[in-house]
Amino acid sequence: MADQQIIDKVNAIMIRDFEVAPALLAPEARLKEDLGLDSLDGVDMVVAAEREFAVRIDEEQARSIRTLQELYDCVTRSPPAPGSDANPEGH
Amino acid sequence: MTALHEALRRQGRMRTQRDTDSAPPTNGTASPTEAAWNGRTRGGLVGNWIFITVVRLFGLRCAYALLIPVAFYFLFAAPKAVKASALWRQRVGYWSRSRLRRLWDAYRHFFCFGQMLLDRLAIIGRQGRGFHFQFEGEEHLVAALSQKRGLVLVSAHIGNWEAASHIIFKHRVPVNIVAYEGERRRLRQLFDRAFQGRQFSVISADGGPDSSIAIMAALRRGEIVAMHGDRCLGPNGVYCQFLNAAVRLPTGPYIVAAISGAPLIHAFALREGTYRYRLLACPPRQLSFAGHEDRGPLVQQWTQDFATQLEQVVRAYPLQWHNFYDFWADAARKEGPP
Repeated sequence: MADQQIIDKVNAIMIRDFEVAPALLAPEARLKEDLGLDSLDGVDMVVAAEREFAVRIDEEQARSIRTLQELYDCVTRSPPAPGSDANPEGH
Repeated sequence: MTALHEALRRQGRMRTQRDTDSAPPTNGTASPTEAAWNGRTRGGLVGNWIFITVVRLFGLRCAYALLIPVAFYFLFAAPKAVKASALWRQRVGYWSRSRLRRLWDAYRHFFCFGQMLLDRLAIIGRQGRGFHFQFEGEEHLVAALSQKRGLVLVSAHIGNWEAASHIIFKHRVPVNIVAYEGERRRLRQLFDRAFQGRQFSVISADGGPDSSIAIMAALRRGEIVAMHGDRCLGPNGVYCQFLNAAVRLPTGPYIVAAISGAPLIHAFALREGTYRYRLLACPPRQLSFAGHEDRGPLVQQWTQDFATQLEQVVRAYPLQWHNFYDFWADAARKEGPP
């Protein structure tokens, strides 16, 4: 289960950077079909999450993200970015 | 004036209006179906085999001679391409009132396109031997690659970009070519043969999430991602001014560069004569978004910058433009009838 702080921060990015209505931000919401993110938005979202949480999401993980819940989980599981002391579990 | 513009002028290739009796009488556009580009290029296996054989056995100049009747044939066999060529020449100021002259110009346009295709075969067959490549702005490429953040290389369907790719390979950095599905298989076969042992891959530009992720991953590995900035088939595009009219151009290269932090370079490979090519690389640009609100205007500006640079290049090399469909039709449809 993803940390509530991660959920809140990811949702905040969705609202701030991708203009997604807060009411749509359910864990099962699909990034493309429900939230209207296109493929470049999806990559942008992953990069924004990496910056926010100082983690590194690899190519295979990024490909598997289809819903918000999968994004939360991915951030939780991802290792810290190189050169970063951050621990995603400890947010 | 940009560095590119200066370089073109230095070479004395910056042409002004030529052979224009007057401005074209109409601004006609092809119908949507005529204008649509499906991602595939004309040419059959037999035709390719004949030309490959002639290039191999008799050399490039003999193949050029064979091209004369072929280009002539297409004047009658490809009326849509003839029309597209005429529209193009109107835009670029290469238009004549004389019908005969217009046919002659269309013929030259086709012949020039054929020369590029043959050059490509010859370059691949000889691994570039016998060709002279003048690389202007190589220092920009070196500087961008030294950052180790990947490189987005933006070009267009002008000149002979694919054939000049082996210059890029010289830098021993893996190259990823982003292409639409119709071109992807052809490029794969072409480059498989041409660049054996060198690291390259072709990424599908289908607009799906996998493509974007693959592009981003390649940049993160410090690789080159080469994209065309002139044909927009996907959802990511903006209208820019190009040769005094609106045209929809893809924004993907600029968004990817801004998100990834990779430098971006506009580059063009142009034919200067038999066995001679010129590769122009502009100074690298570091694109970034400050906030969400400025994204639209910034992407619009970056894309317009490319359109402006491309315009300078096509005015200097008008017959090396290889988009044989009505390039402005999409914008014309959007605006509706006058």
